[in-house]
Amino acid sequence: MNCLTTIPILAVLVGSVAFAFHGAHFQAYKPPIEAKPGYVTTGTVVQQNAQTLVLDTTPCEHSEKQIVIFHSPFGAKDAEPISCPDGKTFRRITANQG
Amino acid sequence: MGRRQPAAAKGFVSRHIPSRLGKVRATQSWRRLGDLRVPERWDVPMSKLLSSVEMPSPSMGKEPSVEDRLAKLRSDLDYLSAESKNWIKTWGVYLGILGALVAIPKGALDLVTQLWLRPETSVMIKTGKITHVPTLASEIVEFPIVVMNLGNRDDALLGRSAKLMGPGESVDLSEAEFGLFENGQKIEVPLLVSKATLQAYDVSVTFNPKARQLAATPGMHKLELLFPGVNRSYSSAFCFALNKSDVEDLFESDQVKTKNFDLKCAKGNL
Repeated sequence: MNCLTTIPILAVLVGSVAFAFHGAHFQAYKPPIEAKPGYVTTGTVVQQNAQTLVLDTTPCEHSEKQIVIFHSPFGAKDAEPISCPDGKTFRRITANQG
Repeated sequence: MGRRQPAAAKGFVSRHIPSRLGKVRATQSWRRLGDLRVPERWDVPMSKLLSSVEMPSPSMGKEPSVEDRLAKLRSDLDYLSAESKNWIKTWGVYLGILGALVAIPKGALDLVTQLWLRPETSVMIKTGKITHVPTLASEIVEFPIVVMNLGNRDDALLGRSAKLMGPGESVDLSEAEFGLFENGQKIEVPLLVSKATLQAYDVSVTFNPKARQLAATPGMHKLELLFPGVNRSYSSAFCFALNKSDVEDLFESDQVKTKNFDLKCAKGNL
């Protein structure tokens, strides 16, 4: 097998592996939920400040994540942590939209 | 018809001439409708009719008897009844013609529909929204999509792909980066599109690093969705313009930001 044949074969193999790796680890998002008054949910904190709170309600899900956006006024309190099948544990909070 | 009538008959005729004339008028309306039937006395010359009219006599000045009045009333009722039947028949014919004018094209259309089965699928996007959360790896583009099949045969969307086009460049998005959702649940393709149905889905697009770089370039952007169907592919596009401040707001801010777009792609947009 000469060099001209080997290089394209290697390129195809590396490309396929890279594509599969990207597909397996790419993190997509479901349409975000804008919390309406009275909406309550529990999740891990993605971002929190005085105006907004963003929760990830699917912390154990890696391919399709669901985020929920709370706008001020909202309430938040600690909730039970969650242990995922891969062994990771996440601290969670429960928030409600005022 | 032309023979001389007895005196009793003469009296009858003289009493009923107005009614007879009425019958003649009624028959004329029949003739207008194309009915060739002619009343039994139509062909009697007017001179003969007049010759049969009784001359006034002193005895004729008397009040008519009850029997005569009843006979007159009966003949008037007969005349009115005949007029009424003619009116119904006339309008019946008109309605029949009108019904035929509607029914014949409809029948032809139904026949064509029965014989020519085909899907008539279309995919539409109207509005879109970009959400920026600073700690996430990508902005999220979401929009409702309406899939409609107005044909008379079921169809299916066998796959999906998307392409983001920006100023001078384009990036293909994989199925993982472009999700179809219904009530928060992901819809996998192939997707059945039943005949005579309309279904709305939510679409969420997550940018890979290259697509994000293109989206964060000021200018007009076009997101084109392609759904290969059974016989042909269906596409829909969504255009949005970003200026420099939009880009700073939506891609570089340390706050959660959202921006709605309501822009159809016009000719010349990319």
